[in-house]
Amino acid sequence: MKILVTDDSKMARKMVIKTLKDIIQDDIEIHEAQNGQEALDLYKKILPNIVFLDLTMPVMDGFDALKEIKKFDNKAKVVIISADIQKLSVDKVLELGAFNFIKKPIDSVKMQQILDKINKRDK
Amino acid sequence: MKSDITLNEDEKDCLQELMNVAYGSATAAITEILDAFAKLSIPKIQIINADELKSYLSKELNFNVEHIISLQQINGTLCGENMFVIDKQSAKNIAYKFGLEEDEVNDEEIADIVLEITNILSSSTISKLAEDIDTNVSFSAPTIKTISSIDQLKNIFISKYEKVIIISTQLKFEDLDINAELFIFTTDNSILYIKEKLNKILDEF
Repeated sequence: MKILVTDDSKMARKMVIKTLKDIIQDDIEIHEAQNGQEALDLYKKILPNIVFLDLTMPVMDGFDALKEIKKFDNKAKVVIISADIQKLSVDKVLELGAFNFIKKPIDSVKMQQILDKINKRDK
Repeated sequence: MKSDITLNEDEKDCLQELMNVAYGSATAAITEILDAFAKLSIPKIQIINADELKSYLSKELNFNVEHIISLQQINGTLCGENMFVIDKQSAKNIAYKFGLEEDEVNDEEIADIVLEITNILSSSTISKLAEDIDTNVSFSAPTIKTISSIDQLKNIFISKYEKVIIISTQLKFEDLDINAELFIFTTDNSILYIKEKLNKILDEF
């Protein structure tokens, strides 16, 4: 399984990766991006199974990256992980086609539930 | 000891992320009250000599217009001050958003609203940050001042610093024309405490 983790904070990326590795027992191939533009470029190159995307980032924010990724691949599974927990932000990303929203700091139970949902949908 | 009062890139990144999370939930509380959508910015972290603070702030803030400054002392292991800065027009726009009519918006009403915003935004941001770095803080009542030049900032700070860690982030509403900034200044010992805790967090990952 290929997973793309996008956050401008190295620590935030590490936290997501650690949570993923604690949950997923199978082999996973993790790629990292530091902003929305990098995520978009990497998405096109590696076609990951899941993208984890922060919202507040330099160069290209998560809203625009989500829009562009969904434009490129309507079936992309993008999970937003953000501290921007405003209702309007959550509504907006779901409207743009995000698979789900996880608020920071990450709750591993929520992460597990989302991964289970993605697995079910893929079967 | 003073030479240790720096943060390396990983420590800065870690503090920035903690601040991002803390400020995110505080902003959500404000936007719920105002029924508005805020554009969050990436927090800035910097350590400077205290005597450079005035020139730093004069670069950061536009003193061509009147600003309202609210200062609140933070007490505890994480000791220092937070400063919420908002230009007068933005403060008026918040007052209108709270339902006040133009003729009702006077300096007293504006001060009251700024104090309320300061309480919600600063207290919840710093309390969350304190919780993340394993400590407790208490706050003194905020004081408020209207200033129109950087010179009026002289002697405004409650604490005296050698070095200050500046954590700043913006409150910006796209459709409301409201801009404000939150600064957190902490003392030398607090910087060392923060540094130690950040390294503990970094070791976990």
